[in-house]
Amino acid sequence: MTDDEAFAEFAHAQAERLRTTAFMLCRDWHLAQDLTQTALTRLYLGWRKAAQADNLVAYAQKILLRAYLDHRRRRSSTESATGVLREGGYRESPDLRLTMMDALAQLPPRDRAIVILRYFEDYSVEQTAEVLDVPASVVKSQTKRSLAKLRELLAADQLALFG
Amino acid sequence: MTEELRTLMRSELSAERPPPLGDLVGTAMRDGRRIRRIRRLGALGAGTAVAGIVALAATLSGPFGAGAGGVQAPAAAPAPPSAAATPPGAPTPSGAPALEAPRRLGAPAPPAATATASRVRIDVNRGRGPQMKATSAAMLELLTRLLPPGRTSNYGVATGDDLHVQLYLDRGRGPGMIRVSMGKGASPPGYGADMAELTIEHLADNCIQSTVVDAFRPDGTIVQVDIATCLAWDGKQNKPAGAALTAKQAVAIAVDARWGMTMDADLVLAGAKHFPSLPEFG
Repeated sequence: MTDDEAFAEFAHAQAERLRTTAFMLCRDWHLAQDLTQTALTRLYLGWRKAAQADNLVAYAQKILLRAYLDHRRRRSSTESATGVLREGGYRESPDLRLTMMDALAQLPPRDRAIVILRYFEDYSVEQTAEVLDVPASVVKSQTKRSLAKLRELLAADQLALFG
Repeated sequence: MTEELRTLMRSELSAERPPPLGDLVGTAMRDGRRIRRIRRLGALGAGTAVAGIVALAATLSGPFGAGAGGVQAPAAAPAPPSAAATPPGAPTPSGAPALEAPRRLGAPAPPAATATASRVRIDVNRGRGPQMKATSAAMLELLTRLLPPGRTSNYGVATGDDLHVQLYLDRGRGPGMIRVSMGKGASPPGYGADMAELTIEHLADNCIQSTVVDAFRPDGTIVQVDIATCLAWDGKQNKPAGAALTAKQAVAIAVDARWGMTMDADLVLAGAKHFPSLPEFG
């Protein structure tokens, strides 16, 4: 199998998953598409090194995360406006209740990424730390802080999940 | 809790109506091939506006000029790469003319001017001892030996398998970022075994590649030196910074004969010793 064939096989198998992760991060399908495109292009360019990775999916996620953080660096406020915190009272009406995705959007980008990797992608603390290039202790402390923040934001009927 | 949290996320995701995935993979491969072609050709700044290419012939009069008898490659002089201040009298790219001071932060950018290139003679026989495959660490080793005196720090390598390195150089005015990349051209330029073609570009909208010097070498190797006017992304911004080198200094680095897809074994070994582990950037 040539490098191109190996890349294509991997990319076809993982593109949807990568785009979903990207969407979880940015909440914009078009931006998620762009980020996935960027990540796959970078992965293609470094395929020979990537192919030697112990966990190729995690390696691809790492590139995607960096593409997302790069994007955050370049733009000021193009992300979905749902990231804007709604002021008090949103729990008073079910219609105004924050969803989990809304609540995630309230977290800083790296904290959001940590929660998504830990609880959506089911990565271990160590894997998450490796993908994000941060110490495991940071993943642990930020996870704790992020869950507390989510607990604060989400409606009472959802809080049971965090028992 | 983990499963419940994941279930909640997936439940909300299931309500989404994502657009068709399209040919993401094919497009990524086409883009990747295009970028590789650009790199091979030494073309720069894919997707960025190139403000102009400064005439190298005008910039590099004297020993750098094409018709001035060529430039000798910088002399080798050991300078252990470390975060410590480089000692006084540490190596400078010899053969270079008196060097102008780096541009200060906030100073006007070099003028976008005419587009041309120049050729310089390089000492192709210099430093051709036992060879080993080039590594990023060897590139940093050579780069730190070629830099003018100053404190170096923030060493890094590019993501992927590219030969692409970064460091900061502080010459007393604060750190400035320099990146050097190296690749093999599709075919060597056909103007002589000891001549390299040079281009200097100023990218008005790209602080990481504010000035880009490319040396297209006789063996097909392309050496690119990027002089930044900002620092690497720190999680919040690319903090503005002064240029750590002048274009002339970058040229003197780019034409050093020791760059190549294989490099002197002593550089490779010293690089592995001094830079055993390097963080990735971008």
